[in-house]
Amino acid sequence: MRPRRFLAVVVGVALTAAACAAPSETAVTAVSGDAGYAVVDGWVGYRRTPAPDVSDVELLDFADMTDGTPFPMVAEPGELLLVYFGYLSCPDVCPTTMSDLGAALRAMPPDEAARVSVAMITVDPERDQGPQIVKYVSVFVDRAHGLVAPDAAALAHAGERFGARWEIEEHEPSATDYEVGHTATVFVVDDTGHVIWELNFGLEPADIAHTLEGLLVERYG
Amino acid sequence: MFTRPGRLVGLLLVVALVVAACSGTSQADDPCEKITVEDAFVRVPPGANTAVYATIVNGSDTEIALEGATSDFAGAYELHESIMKDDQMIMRPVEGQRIVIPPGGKVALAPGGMHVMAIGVSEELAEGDTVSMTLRFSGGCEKVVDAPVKAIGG
Repeated sequence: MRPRRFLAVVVGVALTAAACAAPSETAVTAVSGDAGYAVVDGWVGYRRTPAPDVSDVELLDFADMTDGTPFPMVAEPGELLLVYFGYLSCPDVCPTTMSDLGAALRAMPPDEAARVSVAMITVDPERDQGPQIVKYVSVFVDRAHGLVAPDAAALAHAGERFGARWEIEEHEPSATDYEVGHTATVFVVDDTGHVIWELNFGLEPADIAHTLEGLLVERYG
Repeated sequence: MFTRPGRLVGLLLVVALVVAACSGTSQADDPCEKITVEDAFVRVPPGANTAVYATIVNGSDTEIALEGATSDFAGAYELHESIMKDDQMIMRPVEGQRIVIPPGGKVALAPGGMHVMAIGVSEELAEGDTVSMTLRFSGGCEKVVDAPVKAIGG
């Protein structure tokens, strides 16, 4: 069993547990039921019910390599926006997630993959610069956004709206080798600014592709 | 010391015994010869750090342990693993900085699990490049590995 498969199961359980803040017996029910997270046969990940509204989250995008352009958390009409909270000093999980998304988009019919963009929000603005994020995400996907919150309050607000959490290890102001823990979920946002789906860490790219194709049809026909 | 020849003889005897013991070991199968490293690759660096992945096969009948790495392309290496803690993904050093591969077994260092973290790498490394590194194992065993730099896959 590859480690990521095992982690996927753990992530799923953790997400469910976090969703209902109840004992794990109840959490198992929630995976197949309607208490915050639901599954769909043949798709990977979870449906959040009700879908969180993140349309009032506005960060700065550096995709055009300028000083940052206001970027609301709303997909282009008829499209999906995949949002990930990560950081660039993350050598394993963040690149693996981007690699899996890139492989998934390559596995989709080109005209459908073209309707999906990917945004990485840094949870570590102390070390990460917007243009660097864009450059890195662009290694994996064609339509990349690198997002930085204008201030700590805006970042906290984004995390709260999405239900993402992170933890920065305490460090001296000049230190650059601190650890970061973070929610490793990819949030799927539609063109009304709602999180209609979540992809937990460690899913197979082919399964992600199938799920995104299904979401495009389900949401936009 | 010259006044105590008995001590010196005793010391020499011990040294001789140790040498004999060591040469006895080396006459058996050398586990180092039976370690193979498969499917090694390096992820395109997101910043100053990146991860090295590989499957390590121990074809010997002796337990071995990966204990580190050296190369020109990174300043330092640490053995790390990604794990879920509460609902967050965190990375932590592998306990004792040893990854044990049992006799006749193999261990996959794979995305989302254990990996060799390369610290202080050139961010110019790109898909298609190859880096050379030396994996260090217990018993002074070293294996040189050429690993391609990859974006997608793994």
